[in-house]
Amino acid sequence: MPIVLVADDSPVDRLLVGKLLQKEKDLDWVIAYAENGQEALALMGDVLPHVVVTDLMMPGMNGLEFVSAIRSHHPQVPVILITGQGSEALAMEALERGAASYVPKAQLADKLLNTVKQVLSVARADSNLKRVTECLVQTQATLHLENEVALIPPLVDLFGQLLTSMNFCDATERVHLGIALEEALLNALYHGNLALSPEQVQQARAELTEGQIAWVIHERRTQAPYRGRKIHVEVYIRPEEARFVIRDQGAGFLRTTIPERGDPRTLERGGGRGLVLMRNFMDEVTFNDAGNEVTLVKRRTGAASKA
Amino acid sequence: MDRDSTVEGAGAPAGTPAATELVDWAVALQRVAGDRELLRELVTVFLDECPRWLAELRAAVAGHDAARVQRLAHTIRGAMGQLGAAVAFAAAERLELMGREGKLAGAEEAYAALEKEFQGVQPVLRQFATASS
Repeated sequence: MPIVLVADDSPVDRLLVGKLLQKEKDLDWVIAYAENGQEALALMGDVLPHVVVTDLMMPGMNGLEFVSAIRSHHPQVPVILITGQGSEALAMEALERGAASYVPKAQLADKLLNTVKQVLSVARADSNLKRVTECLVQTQATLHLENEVALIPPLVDLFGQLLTSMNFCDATERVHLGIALEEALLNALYHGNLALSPEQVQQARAELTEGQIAWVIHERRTQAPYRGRKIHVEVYIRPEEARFVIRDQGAGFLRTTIPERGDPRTLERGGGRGLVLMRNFMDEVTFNDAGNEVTLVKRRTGAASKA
Repeated sequence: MDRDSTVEGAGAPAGTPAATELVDWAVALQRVAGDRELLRELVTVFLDECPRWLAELRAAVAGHDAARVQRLAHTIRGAMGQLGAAVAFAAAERLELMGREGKLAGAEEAYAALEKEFQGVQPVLRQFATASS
């Protein structure tokens, strides 16, 4: 039974977030509320939530301090930011400090449920597998994935568990890496191989969230030239770095359309959110000239440098 | 998306903007995934809380407390945005920006403008909240 802690000084926003989360029928959430960061931390001292959803601007402890405090005292608890228009720079800094994801306030109805489920899914750990994988020193894998959304979370979970077991990263970094990897894979599937528009992607995500068939995906997978395309994934995990190369078989995109790292305007841009998360959570994100391959590199903590 | 026809044109005094210009019900419903009952709950909470927020904001403006002006205006702006009140949203945003930049010259006038916008949307929202579903 997942516990979600909602921290927001506005009773309007607390009500909205809580009610939107309660629309989830498959999970029996327990939703707790706090009016500010101090109250939230006090509650977490009694019972740890599985995820925190927080506003960035609250009285007393501000959102950045709150995110830092959770990262320091409860690194295994992921934090999702609610970002208001005009707070993009603050949200970027909160992501740098350890927040796992964000949802623009204007898009709560569309994105909140999916984002919370995504973050919870990545944060879950398998303790039995951990014992075996603690013996791993390095590993390499190549996968050719079908265009099925359902294959992505277990793939992300698999490599996340490997990295945690190898003591490559802590729990927070594992969540971050998982989010970045998932965004890259979904981008390859939705925009690369199936060439879906942002509106079609949103519709498909909404249908999948409700446990329905995403018909646009279902139909496109049977049509030429999308039929038969695969997502090529190469994984190289060594003691000092984890490298993921993800390549789709779509037409690619113009490198010049990729916004610069650190540009807070991408936070609100429809297709930029995945790239923002990838760049914030990985040490290197590079694209090939054709725009259909991304390489994500995460270095072991202590050897990291952002690029 | 359909607008709430029970409040179109209603609730606004003569000579003032029509209800449909004060609150964009299509936006408000989109923010709650079309859940009209949830929107009614949000409006009810907002109508209970906003007078207190405005009183605190007025005190913050009078006390030249830029940080508090920013935070309170941010709260009001967020709520106005969720409820589709674009003009009131802009009035709150103006004050929030003043608070963020620490430049409160003209904040009294900006507050007065925000309060006026709230007084305009308040009857429209109240009618929606009390209308039968």
